[in-house]
Amino acid sequence: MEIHRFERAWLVAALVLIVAFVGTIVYGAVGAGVAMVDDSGGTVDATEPTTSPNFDDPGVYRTGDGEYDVYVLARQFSFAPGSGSPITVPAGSNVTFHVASADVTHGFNLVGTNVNTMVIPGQVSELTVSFDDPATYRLACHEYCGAAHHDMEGTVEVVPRDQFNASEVTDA
Amino acid sequence: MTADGDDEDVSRRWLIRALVGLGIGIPIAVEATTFLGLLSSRLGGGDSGTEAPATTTASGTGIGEELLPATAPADTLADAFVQVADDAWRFEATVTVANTTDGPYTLKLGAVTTGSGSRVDGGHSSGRVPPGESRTFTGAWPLPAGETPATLDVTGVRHADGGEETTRTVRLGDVPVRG
Amino acid sequence: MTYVDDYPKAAKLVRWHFGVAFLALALGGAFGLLQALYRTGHFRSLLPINATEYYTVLTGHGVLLALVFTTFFICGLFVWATTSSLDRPLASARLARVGFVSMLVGTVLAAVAILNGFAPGLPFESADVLYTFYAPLKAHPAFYVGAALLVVGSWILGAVYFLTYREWRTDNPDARIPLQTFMVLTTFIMWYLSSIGVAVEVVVFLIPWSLGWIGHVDPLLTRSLFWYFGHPVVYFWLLPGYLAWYTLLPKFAGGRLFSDPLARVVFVLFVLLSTPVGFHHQYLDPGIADGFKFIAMTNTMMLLLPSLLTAFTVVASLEHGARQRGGDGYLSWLRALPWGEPAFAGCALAGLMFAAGGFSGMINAGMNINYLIHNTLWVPGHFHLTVGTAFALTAMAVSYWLVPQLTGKRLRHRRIASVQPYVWFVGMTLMSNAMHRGGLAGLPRRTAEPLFRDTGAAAFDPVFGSIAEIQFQIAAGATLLVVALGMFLLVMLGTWLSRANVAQLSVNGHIPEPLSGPDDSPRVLDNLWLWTGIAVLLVVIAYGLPLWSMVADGLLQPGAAPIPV
Repeated sequence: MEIHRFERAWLVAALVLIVAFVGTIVYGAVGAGVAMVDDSGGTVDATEPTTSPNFDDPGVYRTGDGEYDVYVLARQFSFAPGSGSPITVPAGSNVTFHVASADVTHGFNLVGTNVNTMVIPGQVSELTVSFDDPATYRLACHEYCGAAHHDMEGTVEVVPRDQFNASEVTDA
Repeated sequence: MTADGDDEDVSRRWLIRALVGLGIGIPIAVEATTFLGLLSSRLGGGDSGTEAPATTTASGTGIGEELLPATAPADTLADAFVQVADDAWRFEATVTVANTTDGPYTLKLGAVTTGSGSRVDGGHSSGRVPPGESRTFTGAWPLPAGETPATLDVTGVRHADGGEETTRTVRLGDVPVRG
Repeated sequence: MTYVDDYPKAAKLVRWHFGVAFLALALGGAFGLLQALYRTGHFRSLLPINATEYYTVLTGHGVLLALVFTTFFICGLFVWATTSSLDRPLASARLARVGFVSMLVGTVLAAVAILNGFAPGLPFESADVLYTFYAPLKAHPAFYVGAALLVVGSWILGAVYFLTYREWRTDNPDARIPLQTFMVLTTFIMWYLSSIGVAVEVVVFLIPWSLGWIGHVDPLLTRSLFWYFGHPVVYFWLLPGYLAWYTLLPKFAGGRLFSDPLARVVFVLFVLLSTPVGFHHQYLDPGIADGFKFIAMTNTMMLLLPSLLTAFTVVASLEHGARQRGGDGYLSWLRALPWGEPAFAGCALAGLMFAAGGFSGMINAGMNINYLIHNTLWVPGHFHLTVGTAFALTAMAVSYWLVPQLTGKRLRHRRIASVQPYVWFVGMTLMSNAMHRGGLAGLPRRTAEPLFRDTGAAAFDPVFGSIAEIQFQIAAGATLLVVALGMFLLVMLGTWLSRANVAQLSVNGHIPEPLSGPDDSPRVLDNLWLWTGIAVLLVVIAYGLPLWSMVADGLLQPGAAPIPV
């Protein structure tokens, strides 16, 4: 099969580009250490996730110095906690979100950041985030979940350490 | 080829030039502007890229916060939600009044205005709360389907000071919606 | 002789398919404008929908355009391509009609269910589930039955293409498969392999569940079966576009296809790689080990290869055509191309836009980069460039050329047809550019109200421009697109309703020989069984273990009960 020399050059360039793209992603994974959401969160009952530990009392739990677990229950059409009163964590902490759904598939996204996951009934989405500086993040559900989907929103507040009320947080 | 045919050819050529010029030129301009804009914000602003978006507008009153911080008694929004239904939606607000002052105090909840501009009247009151006591009460307002509350008219009455009233149109934070 | 004279039965069948396709395009396109104006907050009080009904519009838009318009147009186009390139009638026009009727009945069922969102009095209940219909959101069973009938109908049409090929093969034992038929058959091999996923999801799980015969389904499993299909379906849309760009566009440009063998290689690559990549739509899903996501990522990146090869061949063919027309110079040959010809312009602009869409797709494919744009407005920005332009604009362009040959009528409103692709191109650039920027700022997709209730747009920080400006640009782009759609429909209607011409058509179906023909390529390329076998193997590798791990704890576990919309 005759391949024109320009075509051959283009083919090589295309393969180099593809390898470069894969390399970028591999760097993101092993270099920058961005982990993917996977199955490590485990499973829960798809219709009654509150039968699983910590989803019966969702909220912020302190697991160590500067380490927190935040259990969030998503349901039509709010996040608990998050909607109404914000999820509050201190600056300079590592927070692992555990998010589950009590009804349909939802989204969980701190807009403008890469804190982004799907919340699928029966599965727990586990996502570890470093919050270095104080800031207010808005939380959006970005997967259609019913008639009032667009009203499903919340807030995560990262407050300065001295303003963080540790007494409101349970020790895991 | 007739003169008419020539004219038609010429006008057709100009049409094509205009088509291609605008049709490809506008998209190139849009994309180039975007690209340069992205570049300049990267080089000029020097964003670290991981900066959190600054919330320039302070958000409204949320659950657990005071409705009338100006008055001494603590009037805390203990709970608030909107219940979705097929025909009309219902907004419920539960308020706890902790009267830390020396005189009786009443907290009144008035009208709710929705994000779409609808105004729903209401009249819910804590009643006279004697000094040193706490009272919790719930008000409910029917809302047009699909609308969520944006503001709530709140009035606090200090009976000891001759019925001095403090009124505020409280801007509500995002009230959770229940399916 | 025109196609309609040579193959009157096949031409009628193609006309039926195109007729349904254009109806779906018209309604789906109108819905698109409603959506764009509503969610960007323009003229909301004038729009006949509220926030809840927005999701009915969104479901209708997705289903009508991404499933109905596409499938009908493609099946019709392939009837033409098969008969025309094999130079023989269909093996069974009756079987083809059965397939068409199945698709039509399925479409009507699903459409009525969806329209319940506006008119609750219609039969069936609503189906506001969007075109991805993720469980546990539940639509009326008619929606799922409709979807199944649509897919099964396409399978039947595929069988007709294969039967026709088999007949031809008996008469031509040693010949190479004509290129267009090769493309039809490879596209359908990929389609059969991939649509099994959604067929199982719908027939084994969702229909019984929506009827109450089973109480629970596993949302992760059904979602994964959907995306097993959901990625290759875009190649089901793209490959007919490639058929047009490889076999028709060179002719439109006044030249010949640069290389038939490379075209075959490209289609074989799509047969192999289209399906084992579905997990790239589920990068952020829990319950799926990251190793499977990594494999999906590398496979997806490999898919860039056939598209880049296509870019080379298509541009080379255009250059050849331009030089035949007298063009010269390094780049100025571009000016010699027939930009005033609607069929040429539509295909060329669609190809150009696809290049951009392909690269935004690479971002989506970028596993950990995907975190930044998943389920944001970036995603519709991407797919409006691909299915919305590479497919839709090519379909419109090909229609300008083909519909006269299907009807025996000259194309009417030629001037409008010449302008239309450019209006589409500008409108899509505006809309998609703004959607990409909005997505980077964090604006969500699939929502009637992207801004936060209390703080509005403050949470979204576009690197360039403002949210208000982005929203305006989306509305402006969408408006231009609907205008372009209107222009296309006007031309089609005018042509279809005009009187048949005694005079000759200005287009003909003759396709010149490629510069490098099929005999220059290894015979193994035509070995469809081999490629099917390898494709199945790759799917088993990519999906075997992950699907196994999902069903290992129970086929219906963790099980969710239906939640009606």
